[in-house]
Amino acid sequence: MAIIIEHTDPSGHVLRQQRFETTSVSIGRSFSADMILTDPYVDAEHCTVACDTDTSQLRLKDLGAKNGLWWLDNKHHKQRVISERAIASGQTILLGKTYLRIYHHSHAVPQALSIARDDAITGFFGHAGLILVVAVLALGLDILGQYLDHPIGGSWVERGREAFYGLLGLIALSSFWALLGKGLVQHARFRFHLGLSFCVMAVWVVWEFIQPSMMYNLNFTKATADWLNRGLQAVVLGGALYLALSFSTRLSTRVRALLAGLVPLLVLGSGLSTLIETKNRFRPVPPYSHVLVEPTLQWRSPAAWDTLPAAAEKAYKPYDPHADDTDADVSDDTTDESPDPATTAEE
Amino acid sequence: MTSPGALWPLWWLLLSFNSTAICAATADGVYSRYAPSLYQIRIMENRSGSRAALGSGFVVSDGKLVATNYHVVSNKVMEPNKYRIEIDLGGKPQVATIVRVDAVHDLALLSLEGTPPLGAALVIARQAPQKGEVLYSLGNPHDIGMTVVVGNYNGLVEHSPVEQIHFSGAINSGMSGGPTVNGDGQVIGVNVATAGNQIGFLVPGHYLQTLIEKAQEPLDKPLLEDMAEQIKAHTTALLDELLAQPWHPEPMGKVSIFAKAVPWVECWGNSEEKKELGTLEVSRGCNSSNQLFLSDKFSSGYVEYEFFYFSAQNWPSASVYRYMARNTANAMPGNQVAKVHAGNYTCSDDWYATPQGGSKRISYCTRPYKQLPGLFDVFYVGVTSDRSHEVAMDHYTLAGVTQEASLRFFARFKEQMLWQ
Repeated sequence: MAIIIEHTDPSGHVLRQQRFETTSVSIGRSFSADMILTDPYVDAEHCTVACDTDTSQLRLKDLGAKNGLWWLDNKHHKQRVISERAIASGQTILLGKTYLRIYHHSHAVPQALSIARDDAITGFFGHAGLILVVAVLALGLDILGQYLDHPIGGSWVERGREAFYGLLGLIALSSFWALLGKGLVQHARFRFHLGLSFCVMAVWVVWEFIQPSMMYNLNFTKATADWLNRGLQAVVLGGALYLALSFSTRLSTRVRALLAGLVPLLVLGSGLSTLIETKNRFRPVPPYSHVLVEPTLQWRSPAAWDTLPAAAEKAYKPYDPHADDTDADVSDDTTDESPDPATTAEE
Repeated sequence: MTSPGALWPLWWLLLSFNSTAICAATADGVYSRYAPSLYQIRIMENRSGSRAALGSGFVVSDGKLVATNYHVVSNKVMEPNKYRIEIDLGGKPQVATIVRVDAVHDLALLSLEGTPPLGAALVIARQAPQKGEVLYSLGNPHDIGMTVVVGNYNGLVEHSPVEQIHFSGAINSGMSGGPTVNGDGQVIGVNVATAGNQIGFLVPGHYLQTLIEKAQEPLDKPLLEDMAEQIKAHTTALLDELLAQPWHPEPMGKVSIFAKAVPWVECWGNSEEKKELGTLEVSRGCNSSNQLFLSDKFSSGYVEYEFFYFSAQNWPSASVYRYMARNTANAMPGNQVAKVHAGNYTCSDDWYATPQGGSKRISYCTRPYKQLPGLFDVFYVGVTSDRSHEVAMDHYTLAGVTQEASLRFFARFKEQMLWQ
């Protein structure tokens, strides 16, 4: 016959586990108690847990505790124990501010979790080789990008320093996740979070780097590229947040999915709201393509020269007053910023 | 795109009046004879009941109509419900209506139905004066009272797409729409603009004569539709003239372009070689120096074209294209349009295989005018993308043009910039 008592945090994470080879366990701050607690809100002799030898029924008895004795129902609502009551094995009780979970030794424990999937993920992102390769890739592309933007004048040390500042931010972020996880789950690893955040950065740097040539070669319009940008942000950032939450918190799958799901919702939602907001806004600057790609990265054949007049003709859209509300506010003086060319005398 | 040549800055200077005693005596006679035919035109904002603009006007056509500038009454034309036109008849403001406008030459005719008889009509001169002839400009500058200014006829303004008289005299703000007469009191022109330093501009009288003749018949269409047709005819004629000329190829960097094809475009250019960066930039641009003023935030009837060459032999190819992508990202149309007047631009962008076997990104954008049917602003920008270390760009803006005329211009323009 044995009683097992787990000391947990409010979310149910086990802090300490004790096995008592007796049929009755006294709990309190007293040094004569079987299970000694340090919680100042707990009485010296707070309560006892007893187990019936015939029926294995667990019973909880209040020893007149100042702050009372409570058990948590299925909805995690506190219910007061009046003097004494029977409790099921696995029930959580509350005394003072201490949560205890009481088990009979015959209580079946759940099956072991598969270590393979979690280890595969943490092992992949926490792999030193991957972290090194991704860091070098992200740093290298950042430095190369800076060089290509301003090939003459800047020093490589300056470019390297600029790029490294970006990585410093990610190291701080990874430390935050690792520290958060240390208190909540035992297997939170700094290296995993570092690898994960470096991978996110690398995806972004690579995407930025290849975007112009991709837009040219796949013939994307600016609007398509904008939505691709947002889609990539939603997937990569949302996915990374889900993984970070999975390996640094004990939140349920549903809560993690909900929190990570907010990222795509925000990214795509803001894109959509911008689209709706700017749909009828007057734009004095033509929304023409700004993409240019060097000849070596042009892998598709450009359009035929004689198709140009037909393409130009498509740009003429006669004014349709029913499909437009940009003139709703006639007092608005939004104009382009060209200098005032009026040559007329003032009235 | 803006260009230094496009600016024709106006300097509202209160210039000292410097005339001889003989002129002053004659001026006095002219003023006393024609002052009863001059009126101040006030544009009133209906909601606030206050003045939004002031100008001058004079009686023409058997005393039935008052002539002024289109730009004086442009607010009323573009936003008819927001403004009204008032003419002060001896302390009694009377509401006037617009009978006809000539938006290209900046003229308007107003009518005052059912009011006391106006002063005697001024007669429009049939013959142009001699260069240097003394003229008298009449109007109400800065709302300080009717004034006569003496100046000289200096012929027509050269290189202007719209015919104007160069008047050497101090035309000031508020005198717009007033007449400039010769010693016989015949109208030579209508005060329209100043460039400061005694350089004034007049609308030649014969355009007013034509407008008066047209006004004998009632207008069979809305005023804005009539204006649209005037602008259409004007810009189509400009483009036709431009297209009728040979466009002589001129070298610019490693490309050949064309520059001054007609007298009414002003051209400019610049080059910058940065030895420390190993780059060379050359630019050329031309524009019609004159834009049609249609309202405070609406100018049209404008043509500009520009070329830009960039070379960086020691740069990686990617750097050259990154630089050009940044450099060509802020191209703007050269005319000014507020959202009440035009819709948004629609663009057609793609890369095209050029006749020389290269490739070029071409963007062709147009926006329709809301109040002037059938007219568009056209914005074109092309950037070559077929050489590793050099890029050339061509660009133009056509403001207030028809689809047909602008497409004819495009058909020829796109073939001009060639690698040498």
